[in-house]
Order: sequence, then C-alpha cells, then structure tokens
Amino acid sequence: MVRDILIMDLDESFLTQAIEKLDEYSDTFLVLVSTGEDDAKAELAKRPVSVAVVGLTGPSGGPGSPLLDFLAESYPEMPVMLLADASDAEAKKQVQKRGLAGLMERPVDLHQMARKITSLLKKEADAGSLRGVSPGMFLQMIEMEERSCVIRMENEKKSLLGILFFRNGELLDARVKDLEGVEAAYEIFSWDEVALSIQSGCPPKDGRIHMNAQAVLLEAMRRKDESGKRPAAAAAESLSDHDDDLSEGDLTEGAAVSLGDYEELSDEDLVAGEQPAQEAEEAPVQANTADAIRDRLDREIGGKCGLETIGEDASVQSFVILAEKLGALFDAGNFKLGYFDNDSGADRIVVPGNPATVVSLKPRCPKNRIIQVLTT
Amino acid sequence: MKELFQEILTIENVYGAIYVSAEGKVLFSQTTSDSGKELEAVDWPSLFAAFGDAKEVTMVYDYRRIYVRRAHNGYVLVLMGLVVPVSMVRLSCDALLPTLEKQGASKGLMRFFRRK
Repeated sequence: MVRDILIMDLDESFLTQAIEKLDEYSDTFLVLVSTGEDDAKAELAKRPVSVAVVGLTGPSGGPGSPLLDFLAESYPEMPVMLLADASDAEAKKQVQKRGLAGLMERPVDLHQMARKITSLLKKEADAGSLRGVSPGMFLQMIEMEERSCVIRMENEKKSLLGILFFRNGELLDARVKDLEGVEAAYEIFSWDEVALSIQSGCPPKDGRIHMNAQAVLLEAMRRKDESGKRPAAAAAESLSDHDDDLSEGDLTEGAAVSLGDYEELSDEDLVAGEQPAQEAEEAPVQANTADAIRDRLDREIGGKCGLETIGEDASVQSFVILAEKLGALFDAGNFKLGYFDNDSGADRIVVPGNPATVVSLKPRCPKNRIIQVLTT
Repeated sequence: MKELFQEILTIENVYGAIYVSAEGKVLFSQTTSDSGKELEAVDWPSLFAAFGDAKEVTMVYDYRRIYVRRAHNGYVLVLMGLVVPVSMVRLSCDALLPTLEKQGASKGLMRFFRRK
C-alpha cells in the first residue's frame, strides 16, 4: 500500500514545489501538506501517516515545540523530520533531544528528502513482512513470543491500514481509520486476511486496551459474526420471496467480481521504481477492448494498478461523443481517455472504443502511471 | 473574473481556462484558440451530467489535456498541454473555488443586505 507522508510548513511555495517534485515517488508515498498546526492535526486524524516533516516554527522562531510534543504523544511510532535553516542551532538541539528522525536544511533538496523518507518507510518492516495471514493467528503468536513491536496491517480489499502496538506480547493500543483503542482492535481483528509489516520495538506509549488479547479477539469474532448474519438473513428473506427452490449455497453472498489482484508494495518496491521498460514502449498498439486494456495494465503495472473491474459499457458513449466535440474545439486531437476522480467510491476511466470501456479502480491507485500507460 | 483565473493561466503549459455554470452558461473563458462562440454551442448540461459525482475529471487527447474541476455551482475547465504540473493546477483550483463560491453568493439583491 502506498504510504502517506505529511509535510507541515508555512511556506506555500515550498509546499507546492514539494507536491510537484515528489509526485514522481507516488508509487511509494503520497504527499499531504498543511500550513498550520490545526490542519496538520486534522490530516493526521483522518488517515495513518507514515512520516511527518515539520517546518512549522514556534513562537520563539525555533521548531514548533507544542506540535512536536503533540506528535510524540499521539503518534510516537511516526518518524518526524525537521526542516530548518543550517544556522538554526535550536533545531539541531531539538533533533537530538527528542530523538527525531533527522534534520533537512533549507533550501531543501527534495530528492534527498525523498530518499530519506523512503529509507524511513523501509523501517516499518524492519522485522519482516507477511502476506495473506489472519490477524487473529498473528496476535496469538506475538502474545506467545512476548514481543514488543508495532505491526501495520493492510486490508487490501478495503484499502485500509491498521496499526497495533505490542509491548512484551501485550496489546497496548490500536488505530485504524478514525478509531483508536479497543474499538480499532475489534475492527482490525475482524479482517479475514491481511498483509502485515513488523517494526521492532514499541515506542513509549500508555496502554489504551486493558483487556486480554484473547478476549479482544473473541469479541472481534463475535461482532463479525453478528454483522455477517444480518445481511445474510436479509438476503435469504428477500430471495425466498422469489424463488423457493434456492439451495443454501445460493443464499451465501457471491464473490465480488475481481479482474486483477491489487498487490501491495514489497520492501523492494519501496525504492522508487525505474521508468517503463523499453520493450513496453515498443509494444504494438492494441485495440481499446476491455481485454486489451487489461492486458496492457497487467503488463506495464502489474497487480499494483488497483484494477477493480473492467468492462465494455455502451452507456458512456454519449460522454465520449461530447468529449470528442469539446476536444475538436481546441484542436486537441483524438480523445484518448477520461479519468473520473470520485469523491466516494472507485475512480473510473472511460476509454473510447466500440463500445467504450469503463475501468474501475481502487482508491489510491497510481493515477498518473495508469493514464500514462493507457495514452501511450 | 479574469484576475481570479490569473494564477492558473500563468502556469506553464496552461492554454486556457473556462468557467461554466451548472446550467451551461459560460461565465468566463480565456483560451489561446478562437473558440468563444463555439463554447456557447457545447451541450454543457449533458457533459456535466456525464461527470456524475466526480470531483475532478481529466480528459486526455493526442495533444492536449482538459482538467475539469467541480465548483460550487458549475465547473472550471483548464486547457493544458500534455506535460503540465497538474499538482500546481489542482492547488490553484483549490485556492480559486472558495473565491468563486463567494462571488456567486454575493450576486443579486442579497448583496445589498448585511449578513448577521
């Protein structure tokens, strides 16, 4: 899963430049920015952020101590880098005193910063990573081995990242979406299969979960069963009205149509990838059929493209015609695709053809890369 | 209105900007091509209906891109080259949209009344 990093600074032109320059690392991390403490706190509450870069200054002109205090207290597992002038002795002191991840001197070399961020992201899995495991089974292993670690669990189907904190095998805290503590743990342990990364050691943190891990697991399973029964019962009721001959198997929820695996990043992938291979550029031009588009995405991006569904859809033909007319006004050439970035739900791509093809993508897919592949 | 769009129009490889109300009225247009009258003839309502609930739409052509951003009561379209700092365009639109919303809100008789 592509990680989020947050850059906090008062200088909007620097932030704009950072968004632009770091866009080429979007396969590894996405950049969030904020110009104030409140904005930063709001961003942090919305989603798990893997690295914070702080350029905000406090009342004395040095690094914003209240913000650093807040980050250390609320997100102790998150590495924090400071941005400061080379002459800022106070910033250097803060880095040492607080054990921060590093200091970037202004003017900032953004590519150097990207390399530093990438190496910090690698540390999230310094004790290993696993794929396709059950969170419950893993919890029992950690408990038995009495390990101290931070575990990041990725639910690939829901594109969610959950964080669990263990000290000596004891579950201290959890965080996912806007949930914290035991409620977050229930949510994480209700997931079927996860990809997880283990980071050694547990940062200083007060325990929010005052329950035995087994009890948390059992309660999570109970809640999952409860929530699973309700829709199944409703579906059964609805179906029985129409067809009494359905078997029990018919009453279970069907598997969602999936036309591509959404593989997450491995450790190796955390290093920014190289540009498309030469042979990909030399590939023959293919017709815009659903199969051809799927093949192209598979070949050039692989499972990381976040493909959800793909299919031909004549209902978008009117959009294609309007887009072609609009393009003709500006001598833009042939219409190649339309990318719909939705507020909620999956992003969609409409590729003209006969009929047009609609590609549905999971949130946080590498948008720029996909557009590049489908338009070259 | 032109001042509002100035920031977007000065971005490298941006060739124009158009602001169209949800009803299809072209409220602002500045492009390098001579397309003023033809813009009025575009079936904007049907195009916007096709956008559905998309916040942003990017249309890619052989030589141009059109970035569309949903505004409070309409859409902003930015005509761009193929290589363009899209993040910058997006950021400029972020800054522009609240101003467009305020402008829209202060039209009509209501602008003579003081808000509490």
